[in-house]
Amino acid sequence: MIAAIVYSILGLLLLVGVAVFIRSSRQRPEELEERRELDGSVWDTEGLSVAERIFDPRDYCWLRDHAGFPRLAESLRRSRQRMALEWLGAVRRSFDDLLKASESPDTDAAGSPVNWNLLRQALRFHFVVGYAYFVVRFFGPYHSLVPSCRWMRPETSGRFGHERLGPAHSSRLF
Amino acid sequence: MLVEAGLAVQFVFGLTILVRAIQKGSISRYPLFYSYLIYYLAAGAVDECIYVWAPAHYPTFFWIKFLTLVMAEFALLLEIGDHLFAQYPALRQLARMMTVGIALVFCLAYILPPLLERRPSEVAIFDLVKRSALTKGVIFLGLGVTARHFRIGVGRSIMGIAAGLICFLGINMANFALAQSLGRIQYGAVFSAVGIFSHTLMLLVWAVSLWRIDPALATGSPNPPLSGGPLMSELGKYNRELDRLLRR
Repeated sequence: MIAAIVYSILGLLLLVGVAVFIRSSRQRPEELEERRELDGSVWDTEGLSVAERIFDPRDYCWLRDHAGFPRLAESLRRSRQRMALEWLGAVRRSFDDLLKASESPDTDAAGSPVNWNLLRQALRFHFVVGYAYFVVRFFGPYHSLVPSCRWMRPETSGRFGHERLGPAHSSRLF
Repeated sequence: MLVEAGLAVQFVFGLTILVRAIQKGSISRYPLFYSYLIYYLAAGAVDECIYVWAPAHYPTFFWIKFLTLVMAEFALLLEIGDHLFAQYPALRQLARMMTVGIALVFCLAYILPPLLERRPSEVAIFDLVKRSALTKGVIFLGLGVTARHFRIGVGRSIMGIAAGLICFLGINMANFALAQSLGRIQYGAVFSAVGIFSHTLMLLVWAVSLWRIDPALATGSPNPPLSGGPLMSELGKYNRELDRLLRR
């Protein structure tokens, strides 16, 4: 009987899914042009250098440990967190635009069928971006994303002390 | 009486869809869908003839017809995916692979294992119908979520084909699960009525949505190609850059 109830609920959920599908397909896609223009520059040299700065904790550590402004450092961290989330969103939209705008070849550069490779690349990208979004959202932009090294441990807890920060960073901030 | 009336209504709806398609010349646009419909109507007619003139063979023929339709619905989902992403070749290919991938994974992990157990054939058939309906539902949800994620407008015709099929599958899945659980004596009459209702609803949704066929869209991306190399090397570059930035 439990199986019957479960399948009935799943059947009901399918009907709800259809209703949502019909409702959402009536809304015409409204592209946010301004946002899209920003997305286009995510992968150029300037965009990549901005991304590297967003995820680089040295300014934060210098401000907190060297200059002695912990509250200002926290404010910087929060602001970087928002920027990192925006950047990840822009990266995802940029990837989606690439898929939407592309003609699909039958074979890739190595001559092998592209179908499964396309699915693999797309899933991998969305998994990594989703995972990064989760980590940045809940643990901040300065946590390591790779579990094998420093997982769940703030990189800011002493690892970026005075000895790791050269004078170049202080001049970069002010 | 209810069954006969339901079957008659189904035939009217089915023939209406076919006549409209012939009038509009749209059969070639949805070849798998119309093949499914023609098979459904033809097999239904033969089914009724066998029921009247050779009732001993009716159950065998019914289940053969039913299981063929269950398998054909997977092909119908492939066609739905193709039409949803008709204007975006890379996404169309992605949708095909997603459909095939989900179907394969569910077949191997969810549909086939209970069929290999030693059980009465009726129980096995009920399980097959339930589980394959759920698999198709998951495929449909995957396609719907992908279309929504990429903000793709869905035409009325293809939306109707998908909605009709999934309404039928959802009701049918619950119906088979309840029949298996409650048994023939308790649920037999309701099972038959709900089965007729689900088929009739599917055909009604199809008839309404296909009354006016959407204009054919040109295949190929409506957007100008983005700068950069071929698709696969661009995707590879995205993944590499992302890895490099995040794996610090």
